[in-house]
Amino acid sequence: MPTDLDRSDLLVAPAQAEEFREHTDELHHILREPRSLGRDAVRRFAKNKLAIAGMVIVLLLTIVAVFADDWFIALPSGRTPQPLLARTPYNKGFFGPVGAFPGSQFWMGTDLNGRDLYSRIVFGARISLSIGLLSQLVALVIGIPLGAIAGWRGGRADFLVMRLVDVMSAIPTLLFAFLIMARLGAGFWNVMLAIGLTSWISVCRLTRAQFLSLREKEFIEAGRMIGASSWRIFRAHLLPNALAPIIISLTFGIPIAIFAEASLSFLGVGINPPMPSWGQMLGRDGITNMTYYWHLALFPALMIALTMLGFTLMGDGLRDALDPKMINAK
Amino acid sequence: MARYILVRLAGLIPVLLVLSMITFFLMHEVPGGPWKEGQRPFSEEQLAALKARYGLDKPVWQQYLTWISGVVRLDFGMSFKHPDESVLGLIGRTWPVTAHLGLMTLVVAFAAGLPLGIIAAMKQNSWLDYLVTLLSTLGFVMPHFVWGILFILIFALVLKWVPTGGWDTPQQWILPVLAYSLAPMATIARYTRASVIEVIRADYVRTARAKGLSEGAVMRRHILRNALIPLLTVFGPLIPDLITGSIFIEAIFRVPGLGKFWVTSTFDRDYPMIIGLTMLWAVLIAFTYLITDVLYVFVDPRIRMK
Repeated sequence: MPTDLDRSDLLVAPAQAEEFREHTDELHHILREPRSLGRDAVRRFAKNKLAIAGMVIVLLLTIVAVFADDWFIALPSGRTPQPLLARTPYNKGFFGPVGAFPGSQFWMGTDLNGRDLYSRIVFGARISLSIGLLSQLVALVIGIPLGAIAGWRGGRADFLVMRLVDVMSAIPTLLFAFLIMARLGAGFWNVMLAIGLTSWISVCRLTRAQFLSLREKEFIEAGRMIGASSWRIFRAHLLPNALAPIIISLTFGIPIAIFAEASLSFLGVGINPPMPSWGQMLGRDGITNMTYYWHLALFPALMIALTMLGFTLMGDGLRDALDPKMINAK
Repeated sequence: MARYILVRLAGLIPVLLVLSMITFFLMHEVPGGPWKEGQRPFSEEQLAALKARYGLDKPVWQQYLTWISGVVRLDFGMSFKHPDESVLGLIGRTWPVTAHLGLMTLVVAFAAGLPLGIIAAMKQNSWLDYLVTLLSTLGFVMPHFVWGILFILIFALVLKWVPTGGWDTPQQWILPVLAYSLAPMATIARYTRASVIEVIRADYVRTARAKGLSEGAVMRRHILRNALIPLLTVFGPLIPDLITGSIFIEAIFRVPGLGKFWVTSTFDRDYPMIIGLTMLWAVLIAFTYLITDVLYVFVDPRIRMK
């Protein structure tokens, strides 16, 4: 046994190193690439045919919503947007004969004001999707801070937030949204706000539950032990770890919000005409004239169905991909 | 047990109080009043007289106190829109229709949803399973007014099998019940499938098979009994939801039920009706949760009341 610690055997001769490198290059062909959690999720998502179908539907709808007209070019320059995918501006009245059936001239027929139904359906996609996204943003802005405070601080803050959640979830959602709409008046931004104000509860509950379980974890304790500030623990450890379930709940929140918009507009307290909304088309002209002008009910109904299906399938796939434990759990 | 129920009931009172306050002040906060947009315009004096008669000229907190003291005597006031009927009377007249529709829907949803879920779970990953999953996703995501409209278009207008609406003959019940039951049916099928799949792999199921029980007995006595317990929390809230009715189904199929008041009362600023409906809903929900929790103890001896 050498008295002096001799480390020379640990050094690798240049020739050996070269050989080693060749060897690992070779190995790379055999071994798979190292996979991160994110890449694993993408792989799982891509293998899920229904999820891909849902994503394709959502992508198509997004394209339709964005390219209905050229507002993204027109708005900065200040001119009126020109229709691209749609054939007429959405608010243009008396474009054709009243209540024409679908045909080569009007692909989905015209409504009872003679407006091209196809163009209104296309603009309806823009309304539905933006309300779905924006209202969930509102829900996030309210729900995450409240849930985080309740779960992280606990004690009296938790008690207050949870009682608020109790009361809010006891109010019938539709009635509450109604009262808000009656207070604010119909219109795009108010619909978005009303839906956001009714849908933050689940985000809040989820965030709280996440923070409650996370704050007992060892890595949080470790963070505290090495003297990290509360804010740093919150930002660097709690939030990122709580994020995946929140994102998943968000993808399910979007179709629910789109459904809510359609419901409110169906009942006449959502989007005001001439701005088109699928729910409003159904509720105003759709059901009253369904026995004769069937196209007024059919196309908006199909669009709502397609949108809900697309988002839900994508959400299901996303949940399964991001959280393998939850496969088949629902 | 009795103590537990009493504590829960007592805990209900503050929640209902706060809820009624929020709703009361929120609805009075909404601009417009019950008689402003009426067909017959009232003169200033008539309006003032009407307001005085219903106590609307007093401060809101005073109105709230009047209302709550009435509620203690089970008097929810008179509807503004139907001045000859009390809120309770109006609900009592229209709710039976809605509850009838709701209960039939409930029965259909369970009768179809449970077997579908069980079959899908037993034949997991077969084409049958995928079919059930796809169907339940469709039922789950499509708003029931969309189903209602599509059903009318297909079955009433194209095929002419059933009438488009109304509520007098059993033929008229078919479409609304069908359209209304798809979403709860899908929910039931989805959760039943997941729950059964979990139980199927349990050790006691293997033991039951190993000791030679028939497949039917394993299913009934071991799988279903255990699989259905967690589903109580999912199925419970379906009940108040369904029996309070849907404005959409009742509007589309012209059902003379309670559903429309959820909307018209807000439009008409029919304050006693709005708050009456809200309280009805809240009480129903609260009792459902309570009953669900109590039932849990009965069906699952492993759970003990704290």
